[in-house]
Amino acid sequence: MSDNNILVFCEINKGSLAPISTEALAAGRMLADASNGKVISLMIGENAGQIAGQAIQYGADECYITDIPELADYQTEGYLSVFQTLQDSITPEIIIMGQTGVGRDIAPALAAYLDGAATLDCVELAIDADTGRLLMTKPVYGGNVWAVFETEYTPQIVTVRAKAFEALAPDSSRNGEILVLDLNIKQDAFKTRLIEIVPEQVEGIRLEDARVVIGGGRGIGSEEAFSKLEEIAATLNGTVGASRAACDNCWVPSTRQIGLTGKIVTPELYFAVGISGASQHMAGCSGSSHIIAVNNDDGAYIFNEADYGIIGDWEPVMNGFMNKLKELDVG
Amino acid sequence: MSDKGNIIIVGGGVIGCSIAYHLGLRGYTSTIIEKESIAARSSGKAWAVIGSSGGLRLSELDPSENTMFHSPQGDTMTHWIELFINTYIRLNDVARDLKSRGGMDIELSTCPIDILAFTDEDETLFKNDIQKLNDTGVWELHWVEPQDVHKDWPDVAKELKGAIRTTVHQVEPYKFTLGLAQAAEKMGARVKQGDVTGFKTNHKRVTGVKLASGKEIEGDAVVIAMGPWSLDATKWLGNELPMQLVLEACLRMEVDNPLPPHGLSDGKYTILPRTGGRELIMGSAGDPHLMQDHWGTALSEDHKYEILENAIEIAPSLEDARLVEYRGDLQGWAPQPPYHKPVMGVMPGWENAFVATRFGTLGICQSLGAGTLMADLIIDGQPPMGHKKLMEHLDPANG
Repeated sequence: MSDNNILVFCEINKGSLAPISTEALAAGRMLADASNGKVISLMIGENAGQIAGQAIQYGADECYITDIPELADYQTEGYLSVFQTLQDSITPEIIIMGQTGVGRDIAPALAAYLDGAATLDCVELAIDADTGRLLMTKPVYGGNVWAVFETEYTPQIVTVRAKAFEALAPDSSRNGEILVLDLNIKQDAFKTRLIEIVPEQVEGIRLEDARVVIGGGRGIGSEEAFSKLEEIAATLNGTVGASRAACDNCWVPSTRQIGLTGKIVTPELYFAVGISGASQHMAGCSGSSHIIAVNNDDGAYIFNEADYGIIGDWEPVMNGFMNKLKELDVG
Repeated sequence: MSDKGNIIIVGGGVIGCSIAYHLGLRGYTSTIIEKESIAARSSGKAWAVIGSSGGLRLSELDPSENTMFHSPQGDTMTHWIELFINTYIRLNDVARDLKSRGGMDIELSTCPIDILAFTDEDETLFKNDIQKLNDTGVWELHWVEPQDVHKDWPDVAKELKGAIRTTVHQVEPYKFTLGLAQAAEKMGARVKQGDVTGFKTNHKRVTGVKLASGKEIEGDAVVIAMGPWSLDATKWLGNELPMQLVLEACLRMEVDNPLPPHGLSDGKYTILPRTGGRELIMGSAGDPHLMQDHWGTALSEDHKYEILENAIEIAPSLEDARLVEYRGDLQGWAPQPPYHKPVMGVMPGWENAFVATRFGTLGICQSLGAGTLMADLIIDGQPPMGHKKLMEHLDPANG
């Protein structure tokens, strides 16, 4: 039995601790406090030394770092060997990371590597009071059901969904040790090699990153109408999404589709305008902090899911809203 | 119906939307009440191949053969082949109308398909089918020799005896159904979300529907077009229709090199190229072993691999194709599968309650035919001229 070590893998984003990693740290802190454990963070990449302090402020007790140039960019095998090195000294019971491109790639590989189990896209975590094992809650069946999982394998590796946990307020009075890992990594040994990083071309704010998303559905009625939603979204520093029906009508490109076959968004504010709220769509937006629905069908299912519902034609409602924003000088 | 009042259609699948569309064409308004959203279930997930009786099974015209298209009473699809013919021949016109009226491009495309014969019996049966189907004057089929098939698909098994070559239409099923609904809306129909849990009745008339929310919607007539869920609704009217639920699925795959310009079928598993030949649909005809209850909606990995394996067996070169989408859902079939027989008409014992369901795996292929006949029946109170026998055959009173 180890000492209830909880390892939180932290990612670096634009020279700072990635927001999702601050949330993963909060989850780790909560579990550590519940099990008298310790939160150990791991940070790989350029300037990890300078950023490690942030991990301590956000809840870690210790932070292991490595900034060797061979691992400046993500490399599955290289990262796995870092975890392997660390595993020998700290034997974590639980490993937490964000549900990101890297997290989704490394978590299952790590589970295979360490004979553990990976559970991806968790939205709640808790310690079972009887067994001391991790209870992992994740959406299944297209988000229609939340299921709680427990594994008999160790380490218990999880990725957490963005915004499922609230980051702790950074506490600069927290102290923790920062340790540099002693690694001997040879790139030649890797079976894969990074050739080029091609950034995704997106205009404006990415749907997944937006704090405000205005989703338009079939009720919007036309491509022109969508430009109105775009105007409002821009005022709120947000972006526009759409239901499948709106995309299939070619009013918006399908890259804007939210739902089971589209993107999953978790903004602070989601406007569902002229969207009935079929389960396929809700699977893509139910993680939003607040949902405001505008629909002229009082029986629309979206009203069961929304925090605020407005029954009425979208145009006067949204025009009124836009006028109010102007009046308040927002944007 | 004497006035042009409100007709409630329960179910926003391809049949319900087609009825609304055809009512609209005759100037009647309807309200589609849909629990989820338009084409949320089977209608949006079908493989949407429209041809001679689906374009896939042709020997159904021979009543001696026990296929999925025969009912235990010895019916054959010959009795309702008009539903297929009507849909097939009007598809081009309707596609244009849905574009201009409903603003929807249903992605109509046309492609030849070879139905492969691997035995001497197949060859005899198929050649017989060609004759019968060509006699309808609607479809054009001809026999092709193995080398004709191998020219495009060299890897099809060498023991091939030949094939029927025919032409099928494909549409994007979600867009097709949504297009019908939107065109109907342009003609005054309304689409409302609601979970219908019962009917309001007065003697032999249905006066409206009750929703799970507690609300009620009044109507002058009601049409049950709920696919597999019609079973519940017919119970509410004291006349439970026999129905079996079957799960049907297909795979959408992507390939690097453009596919040959025609599809293949061995009668059960089918491969069809789509959009520029870079994509294909693999599907299997509905199977009794996929019988489900109302909750059994989960697509199984086993079925996915079964379709994949069998399609690859037909054309081994597809081994490198990548899965884009695995889709499918429940359908209502006549018991017991593999039998198939739709039901359309007035609910027995009621004056203004109608039903159109149990189209099995071929709802899209029959949708325009079913929609126009149902609209006529609802408005005129009797089947349209020349269709009395057909409607008698599919009448709910006859199971």
